[in-house]
Amino acid sequence: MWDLILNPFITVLTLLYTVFGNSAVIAIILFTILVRLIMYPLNTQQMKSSKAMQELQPEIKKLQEKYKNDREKLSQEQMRLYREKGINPLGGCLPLLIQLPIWIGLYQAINHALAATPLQLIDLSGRFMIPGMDRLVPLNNVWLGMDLTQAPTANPVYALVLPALVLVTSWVQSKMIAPPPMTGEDGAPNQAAAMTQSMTTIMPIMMGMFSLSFSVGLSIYFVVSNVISIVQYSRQPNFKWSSLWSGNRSQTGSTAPAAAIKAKTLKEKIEAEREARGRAELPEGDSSASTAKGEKPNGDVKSETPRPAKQKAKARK
Amino acid sequence: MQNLLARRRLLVAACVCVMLVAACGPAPLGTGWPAVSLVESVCGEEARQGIIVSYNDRIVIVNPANGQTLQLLNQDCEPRPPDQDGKAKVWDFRVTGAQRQFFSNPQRLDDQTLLALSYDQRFFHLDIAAARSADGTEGIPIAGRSGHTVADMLVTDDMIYVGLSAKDLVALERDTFDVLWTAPTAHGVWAKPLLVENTIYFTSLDHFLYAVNAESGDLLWKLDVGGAATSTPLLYEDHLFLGTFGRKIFEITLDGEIINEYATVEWIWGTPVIVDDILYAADLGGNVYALDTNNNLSEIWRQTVATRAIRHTPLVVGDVIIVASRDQKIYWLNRANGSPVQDADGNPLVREVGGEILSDVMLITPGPSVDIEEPYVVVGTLAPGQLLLAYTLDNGENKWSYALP
Repeated sequence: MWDLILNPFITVLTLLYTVFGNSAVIAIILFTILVRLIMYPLNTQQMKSSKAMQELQPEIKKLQEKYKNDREKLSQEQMRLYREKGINPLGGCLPLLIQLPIWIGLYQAINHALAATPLQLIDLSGRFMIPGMDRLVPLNNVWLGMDLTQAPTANPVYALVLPALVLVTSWVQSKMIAPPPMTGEDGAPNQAAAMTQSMTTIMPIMMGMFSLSFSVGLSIYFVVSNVISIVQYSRQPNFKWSSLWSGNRSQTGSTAPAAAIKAKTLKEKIEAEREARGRAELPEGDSSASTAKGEKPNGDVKSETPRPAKQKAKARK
Repeated sequence: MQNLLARRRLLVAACVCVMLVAACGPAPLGTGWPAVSLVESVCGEEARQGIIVSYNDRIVIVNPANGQTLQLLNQDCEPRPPDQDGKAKVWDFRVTGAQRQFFSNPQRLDDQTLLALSYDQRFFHLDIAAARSADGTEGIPIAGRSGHTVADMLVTDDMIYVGLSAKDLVALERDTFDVLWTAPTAHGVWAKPLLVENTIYFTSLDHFLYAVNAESGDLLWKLDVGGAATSTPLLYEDHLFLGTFGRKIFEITLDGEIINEYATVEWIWGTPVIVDDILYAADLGGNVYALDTNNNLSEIWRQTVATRAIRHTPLVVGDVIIVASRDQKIYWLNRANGSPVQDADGNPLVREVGGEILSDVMLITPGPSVDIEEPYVVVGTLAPGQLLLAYTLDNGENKWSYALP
């Protein structure tokens, strides 16, 4: 089954290698770009879906609080919300699942084509879909004095730049992809958010470590792939590079914006939360349509976000 | 619903992680296959033959009579007493504390010593009697070189020739391991060099067959064979025979002139064999060929035998050819026409094993140093539970199998 993906990939990769002056590096770069371009619509759909889900989180949180004792009703309300917003809650998963075999195929194609080991080389036989291409085997695997089939540690010292690049680009990419950190009512990041944040730190380090033992050719693939993702994410509306370093991407479960979290005093925080509630409050009843800015919710729906007792007491004072 | 979604996301994330880890390991297809060869050791006046297997982190010697790891003997040629845990002391060499891998055949230096070369280019002197290395865990590196070696080395009275996986063939002084000369190539050398008189012939993945002076390394000639070559040339009646990834089998003079060639269906990895002027070879598409060396390599017959690659040199014994494939099967063929040999029930004589077969197929014959009653065919597989298997030559009866301890 893998051959259906792998054989065309290896053929195209080798074709690019031939067309572009027998350079395996150029072939890897162009091939990665090509595959990512083909997957662009899927990736965009996944990003949109993921973003929409993120934007809906405050409202979901509200529903959870409202119906915390009625799970069935909560499910119904959430589904209603998704329906009304035109969001498929699993919409981000399908493109990911489609892309996954392609990513793996891409990775494996590069691994096969470079054929660093006897088993990899023997496995390359019979994979070319254009007659005569196998006479190109093995690909020229030396680039800037580095052996593309070997790990950076088995290459000249400057090859260690590549794992460093993998680490940096992975970090930037994971920071861009990671959803804004959700915070609890006390302003502290919730457990899931903390986990996500630590993953954005751990994963790039892991990728950098892996790159020390992977071949240089694969490091090039990782870097190119990461850069493409970074470019793609940076073109999203409302994206700001500064958000990678600042904490203003976070949001609380109570829909309070970043200002509430960043408020230095409790008073400022309460003010900010009040203001935020005024802007982003859910309307009452079954309707989840947005209310006008500053409009007070009506009916018997408790619209205020529950706050810790101490905080409430201080606010009254 | 939210919990359900969270669980599903977690599940998807876990699946993604598992798939990525499974697909993106540093060596997803593994490195090599077991190298197998025969070695004879002498204790007192008694000689013992063993099958030496180099695979992954260990080198073992297996008794061809019973498929057990060979027991170490004391000075009286009696089995050594077991260790403190009651385990028999056997010929099982591993470099502890360092990750070394072995995929090439150790070569004999003298009666007492084998020389092993690890995948990361370290030499180890192995005491045949004790299964110990005299070179610690680090071994002896090739000065100024890093990278890997998959080819068997060639050892002569005073030199060692080693093909390097990345590129070049190096010649070392046998006792000191000093690099004497380097024959440059554009790509790796993955096959054992061939020494004929004072000339070293070796192939490279760079599509060339090289001839260099064995003592100085001076290039005598090089010949473009149109594709990568991973086999040692076969010398037969002053001609070299060689198969390549260019889907060709060549007959070449010792001066580097192609005099005959034959087009194959797929890449040829292994060295051909010639018996009674007929060349037998197998390709990575599962085809087996018989070519007439007296008639410009004309085809006598060609059979598609296996569904996957046949890497090794076909084993020709009497009227039978035996080949083994990555399709996990061993095939007995009639030498006359390549058709399957029939068993007693009239079915093709084919034996299925538990792993892909890429190692050379060996014939073990009865003799003073081997306590068996009839010839065995021994194959090595990639399945650790069936690393070696022995079958009778005549009817393919399985006599034993050897699993990694």
